[in-house]
Amino acid sequence: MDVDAFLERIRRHPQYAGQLVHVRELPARGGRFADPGRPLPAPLARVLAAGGIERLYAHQVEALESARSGQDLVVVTGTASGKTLCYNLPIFEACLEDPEARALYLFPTKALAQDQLKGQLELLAADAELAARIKAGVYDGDTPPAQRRRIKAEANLVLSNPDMLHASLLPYHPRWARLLSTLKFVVLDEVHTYRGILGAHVACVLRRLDAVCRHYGARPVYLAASATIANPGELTARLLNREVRVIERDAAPHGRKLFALWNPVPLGRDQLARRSAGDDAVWLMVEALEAGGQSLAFTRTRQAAELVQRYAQDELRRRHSPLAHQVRAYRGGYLPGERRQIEQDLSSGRLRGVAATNALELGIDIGSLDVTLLIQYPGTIASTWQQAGRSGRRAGDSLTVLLAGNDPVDQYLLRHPAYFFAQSPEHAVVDPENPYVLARHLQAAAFELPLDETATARFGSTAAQVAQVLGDSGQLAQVAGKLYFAGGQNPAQKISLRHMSDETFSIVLRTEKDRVQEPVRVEPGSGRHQLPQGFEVLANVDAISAPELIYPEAVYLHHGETYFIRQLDLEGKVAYAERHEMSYYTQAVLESSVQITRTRETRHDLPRARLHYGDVDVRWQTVAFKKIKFGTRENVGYGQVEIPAQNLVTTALWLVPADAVCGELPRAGARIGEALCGLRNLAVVALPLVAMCDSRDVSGVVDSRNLGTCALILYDRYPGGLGYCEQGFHQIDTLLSICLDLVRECPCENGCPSCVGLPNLRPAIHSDPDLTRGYPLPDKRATRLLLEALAAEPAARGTAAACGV
Amino acid sequence: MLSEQVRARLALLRRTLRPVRMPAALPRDAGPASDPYGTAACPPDASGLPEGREVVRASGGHWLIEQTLESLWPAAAASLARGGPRLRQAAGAADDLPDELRELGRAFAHQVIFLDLETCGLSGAMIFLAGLLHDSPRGLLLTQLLARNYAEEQPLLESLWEYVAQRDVLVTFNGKSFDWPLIVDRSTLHRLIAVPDHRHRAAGAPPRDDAWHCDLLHHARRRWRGQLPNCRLQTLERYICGRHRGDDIPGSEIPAAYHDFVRTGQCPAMHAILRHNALDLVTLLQLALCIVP
Repeated sequence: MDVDAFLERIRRHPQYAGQLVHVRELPARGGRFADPGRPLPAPLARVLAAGGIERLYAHQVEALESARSGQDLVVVTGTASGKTLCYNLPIFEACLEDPEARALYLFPTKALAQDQLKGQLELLAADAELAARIKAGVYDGDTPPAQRRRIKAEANLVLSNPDMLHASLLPYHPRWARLLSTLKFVVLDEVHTYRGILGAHVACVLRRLDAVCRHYGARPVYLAASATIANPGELTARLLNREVRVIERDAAPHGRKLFALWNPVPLGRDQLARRSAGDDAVWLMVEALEAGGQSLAFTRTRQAAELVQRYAQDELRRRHSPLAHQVRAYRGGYLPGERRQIEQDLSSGRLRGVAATNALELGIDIGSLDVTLLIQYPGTIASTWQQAGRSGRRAGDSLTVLLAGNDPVDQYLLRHPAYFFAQSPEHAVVDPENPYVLARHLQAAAFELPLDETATARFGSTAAQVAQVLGDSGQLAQVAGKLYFAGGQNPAQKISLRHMSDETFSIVLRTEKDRVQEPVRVEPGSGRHQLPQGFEVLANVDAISAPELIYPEAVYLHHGETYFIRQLDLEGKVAYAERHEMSYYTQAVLESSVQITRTRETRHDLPRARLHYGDVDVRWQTVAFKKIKFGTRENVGYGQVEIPAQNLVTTALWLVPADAVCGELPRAGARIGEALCGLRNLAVVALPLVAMCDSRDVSGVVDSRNLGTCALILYDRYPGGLGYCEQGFHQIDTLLSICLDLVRECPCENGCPSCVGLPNLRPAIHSDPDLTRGYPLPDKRATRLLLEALAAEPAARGTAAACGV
Repeated sequence: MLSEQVRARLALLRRTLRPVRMPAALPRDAGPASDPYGTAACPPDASGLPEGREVVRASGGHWLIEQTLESLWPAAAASLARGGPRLRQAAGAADDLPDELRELGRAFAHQVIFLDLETCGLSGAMIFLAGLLHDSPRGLLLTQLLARNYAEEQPLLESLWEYVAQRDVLVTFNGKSFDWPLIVDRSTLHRLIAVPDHRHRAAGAPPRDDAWHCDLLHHARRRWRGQLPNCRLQTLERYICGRHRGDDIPGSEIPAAYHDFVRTGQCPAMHAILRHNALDLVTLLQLALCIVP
């Protein structure tokens, strides 16, 4: 597709009013090549030549040499940079030199593992000797029993995922003794995804793997690959508990790419409201499809993906275009078979347009697309480039358009486009010592091998204490200086790496009309649902999200269709849905409260505030819902919801302005409470710039009940905390200065959704982000005064000590 | 006449029924002499445990309880007198008896060992009790190797290997699917045997090609198919052996009882488990005596 012509067409369109704020050309770039110190073995050189690869890129050679010398590494290069060869080359070479050499590959998803296997088998097939010597196989939940036996016995390369490693390979490690005793390499692909919850779990799983490898006498070299983040070395080191070499100068060639920043038009005379980025994306997608291109739109929420698909199809039907049938949505919650079909159809070109959540971000090969549309900032620079990388993988011109939403960060980024093209400031946060996560994995570790003091210490400095707690409650027992698992069955079975809570709700649809609704039973032990006849599972939802998505009378969207939730069974973890064509969808209304339980750290070095970090208890509850009409987005009604509150024990930071500051603001006509509300809204959107989380991962309240004086409390939305607000605590100066920039630079008069706005500051993953306009806004001037006051130098040094608790 | 297709299928079936070879054990390090009838008598403060003695090895110790079959099953002598010769006779019979049963008869009783395990769960769990029935100068003996805590599994397994490796025929119930693979797994975990290759033979050690594993579950299914509600051991015990257990600890409660035992040292549950294990072995013996039609 001719992207320059496409942009010209857009500019000439009657609806165009200067939305293209910035277009940066990333010129085509040739590759930098190198040769390894010792040449590759002949069979390997042959398959590369057969695949059209005459020489290797510089970063591939660097990785090869590092692996050869036994140095753990992480490769940080973009999509289509030949990252796979960075780990496959040293591994294939090792297998040729030693027929007993083995490697374990870990991918974040099953689909990615399957895709990689396909690529490997194609490569190996090009040379008879290689194919005979090296056997590869995928080991995951779908692998049939006979194949599992073959893989255990014969495979040199085992491709799997952390979940399978955790639940199956490690607990039954004697059956894998052959692999584990001859393991030479462990590959960790997409390692930047192992942050937050998943990161905490995976860090523990990798420590268990390390223990088991040592037990069988293997010391594998770890080869990791990451997308671009600020701290790939640190992240990988924390996951592996060892130092790694960072290889990050990307030497691969790139085709020409245009990166455009798009700001939807303001509605009304002031700049308070803007047209929806989603609606603009629908427009661009339809144009791209009609121009003969393939287009992928990334959305921030699942519901938004459904809406984009729906509106795009509506528009194409209105134009009587056959392309209406070639647009789909793609998101988590769809069944695996459905997702595989969409990936294949994209890759083959049968599907022309897809609206997807970041579920499609990871490296599954879907071919090269012409246009990628990012509907609102994806939340991290790394994700931005990964999503952008979906267009133009195999050279040729391509286009990425980032459509800004009415978010403070989105608008901030439009004013600072250099942010994307300069070095990324975002740090991936992983906390391998979250006590909830650690407690569960210590049990699993003890089940696998008895833990002595050294082994326990490898899980972190707090592991010994956590083990103590487990001992007191009878989960672990100490015999002769070692800890053994003394609980029930294999503890790994009850741990899901993707969640903090191990419970999933099923949304169940009645398929036979006359069936009476029977209670759905949960299978003891596995937690799976036993469905009676005439019912089928529509989708799954985790327990924390369930109360705000599938409350009774909610409207649930799936594949663009509406389902009415008739009943929610909290005990059985089932929601009963019925297919109805609805004219509206629903948004939950939540109430929450926070209580500080323990202070861990305090900072006295802030000039005009006291800052603390510690533990809190959070309660929240869905109390009602709004009915929103499709298309117009008007509020057409309310409903009551009666479900119990959720409780969350987590970590938080709280900021208490100095007494002097609390006195200054009223004198200037500003209320401290409102100022802190504004600051809360800003902080929740600014923290991701610092801690590489999502705005949805943290939340906050302004509260005076806890400390007797107004304080801002920011907390991690996960049991035990994940280190996000802790990062904010350590980088408070950066955080506050970004907040001040945000509020100063916003062109609005008195506050707007793009700066201090959004009392509904945590749009749920299932919500429509365009709905958060039209709420009462905190006082912008007050917030600005507060931020300037906090940044100012104290009159006397004693001020800080005199304030707060 | 059998068609070519059916003939081919039967040939395949016979190949897959070939008995599992038992890997020979490679004892780790230099242990003391391999006589399992250990060293010191049980120390005075081992109260709480059933009567027995401690076995001490380089890797640690475990408990050993031994009694003659006579003391557990008084009718043993009579039963053996009836069943023993018939079983031995089967060795010479030329009909379509499976090889395993023929070998069982040939080796009975001196070269046969009966085995039943009690564990902390299904797959991946530890073995805490190995019950054995075997011949000795004193007649048939019931020997139970008990791990008094989690650290004693390794010495227990070392002793177990010594018993098993000395006999030609191993008899179990469902042992081919459960007991034996678990013994191999746990022994691999404790590095008592070299990493097994996919033929489950210890690499580098001379395999005992002449050893057999006779799993009575399979033979019982074949022998009494359709005549019984199911082929569970206690069902066979009731219908074939004519015995009924009163007051036996349910299998599902055994792991929890063991954990309690380790934590508190209290014995009542342990007595029940040992009794359960012993009764299972007795039934196994009786079934072996009746298995040949």
